[in-house]
Amino acid sequence: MKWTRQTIAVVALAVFWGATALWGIGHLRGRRQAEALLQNKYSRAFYECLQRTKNVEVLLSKGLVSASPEQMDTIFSDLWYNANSAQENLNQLPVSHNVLASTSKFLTQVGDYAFALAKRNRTEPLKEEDWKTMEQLYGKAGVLTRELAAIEREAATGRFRWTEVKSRLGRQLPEGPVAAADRSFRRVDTQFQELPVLIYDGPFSDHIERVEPRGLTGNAVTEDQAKEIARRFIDLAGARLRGVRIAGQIRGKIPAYSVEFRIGDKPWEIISVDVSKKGGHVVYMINPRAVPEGKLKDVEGRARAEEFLAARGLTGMVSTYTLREQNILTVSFAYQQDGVIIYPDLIKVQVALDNGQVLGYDALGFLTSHYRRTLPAPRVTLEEARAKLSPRVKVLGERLAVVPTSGQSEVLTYEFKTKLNEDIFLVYVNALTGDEEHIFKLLTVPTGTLTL
Amino acid sequence: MDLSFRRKTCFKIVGSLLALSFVLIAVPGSTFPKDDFLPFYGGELQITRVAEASPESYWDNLWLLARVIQGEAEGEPFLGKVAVGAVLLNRMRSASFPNTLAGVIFQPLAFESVANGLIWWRTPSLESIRAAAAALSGWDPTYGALYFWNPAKPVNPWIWTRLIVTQIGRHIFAR
Repeated sequence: MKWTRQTIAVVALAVFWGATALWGIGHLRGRRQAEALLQNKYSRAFYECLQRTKNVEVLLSKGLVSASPEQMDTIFSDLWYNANSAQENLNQLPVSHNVLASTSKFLTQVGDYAFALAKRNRTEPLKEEDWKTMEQLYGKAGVLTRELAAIEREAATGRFRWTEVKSRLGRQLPEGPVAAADRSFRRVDTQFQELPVLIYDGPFSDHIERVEPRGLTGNAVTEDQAKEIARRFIDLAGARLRGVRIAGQIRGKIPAYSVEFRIGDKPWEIISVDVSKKGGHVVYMINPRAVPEGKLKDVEGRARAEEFLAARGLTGMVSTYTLREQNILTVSFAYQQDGVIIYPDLIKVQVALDNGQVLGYDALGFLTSHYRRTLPAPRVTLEEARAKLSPRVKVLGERLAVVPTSGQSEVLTYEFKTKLNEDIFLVYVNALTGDEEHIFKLLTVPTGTLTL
Repeated sequence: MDLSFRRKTCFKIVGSLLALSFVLIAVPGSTFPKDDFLPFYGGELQITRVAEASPESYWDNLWLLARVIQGEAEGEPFLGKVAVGAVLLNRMRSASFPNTLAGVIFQPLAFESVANGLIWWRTPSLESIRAAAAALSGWDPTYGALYFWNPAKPVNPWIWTRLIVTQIGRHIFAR
């Protein structure tokens, strides 16, 4: 048989087509496997969330009938763990976040609140309103369990499959299975938009969002005044100003004007300064220039930062920590009142170590919390507080300091810098009750210096 | 003559097809760059929930954050990059979002550059790393924003119901 060119072409085509088909089938299989894997991952997260929520509901009811503080302690720790786990798994589901937000918040707060109660429960019996809140949360947990069980039935009967969720953001969701998942969760979420307001000593308490800035003294300023305040504040280090404009207004926790100074031709050669509308305080300053070399020592940089604050009338600040990275020294300052360090009143200054120019300034902490406090007299002496420390540590330094609690209230403490083997720990002992409030482990890095 | 011409065209077509298939197959790999400079995290006396076990462990958070900043805010000014990093950290501290950095970053449908794998294909620029370090050390030019979006791209309409705080570069930031 003579192989004509045509035969060759046909055979080649057939081979090519066969190869393509095999390749396609292989890919299809791979895709199916990947989809099954995802489906399983999402199902696991969902079922885990459902189980943890059931546990939360049961534990809350147990908490309501328990009368022994030891038993309560166990129940609250379990609650904290299960609520956290439920929240974590809920947030792994491929549903738009806006239909999970309130449910997620509910679970976070249940855990956080339980944790705060467990701490309080050790020293004093729970109050009447705590029981009321627990009952409310128990009711809500029941609603959530029932709703999740309903979603489980919807998913099990094929109303929707997790993997059909498009990985396209911002698009309107198509009708069909996906929208069903979103719709189901939206139905759940609306039930949690009216949660009881929880105020307790924990990081997720409702009052933290609503903290009114205390340090904003003075009257409203105009745009032109803000420009002038910002111009007097910035450190030009010899650069020539080429223009100034109000870049925008900030409607955040501290309403402010955003002022921009042009200091070069390049689009990034600008210094941005935020000036608060009330009182004309500088909240932030950022000069994003890179610093090619570090000629100055940390001590010189710190002196430069102190000078900068003093020249701008910010007195009573002491530096607490310095950190050098990429030839920029970040100096943290805290306010000092009557010899006591007030940690919440925090200001950070960034100094370029090539020429000592101040590149950054951040007073958000200071402006949020600063006021003239009436400090209580310690009821525990320094010796008594020191006796509370672990016998295994060596004390390197000690002083009085006001520190924030996790719920953003403040306590007067003795601050101890202690050493165990090679690790440095900062231990805070409440100066009124003698309780250990915080323990921080300090990361000792070659470029960071703690001044205590 | 005629044959050779045909063969040539054949080769050309096959060649270009092959070349095209290589382009389709060769997905840019992610390379882990050498760290020849070291930003470190100081003993912040604030309650931050990024716990660091040792100075070395600061790196994973920094890198992860820098990758997302690179993916979400490439071409944005430095302040806009810090702002994106700050939003991620604000989410971590918010009750309605996951409580860990990885949880926030990998939450399904949260960030486009994470969803399409972009964060693994790009090496973060030095500026993104500096912005991540700035955000981790507590800079928040967004005053507590939890959302950001580019109004020029299609977005979910519900996002406009949030309280808009400010605009930095091309992104709008909202609480």
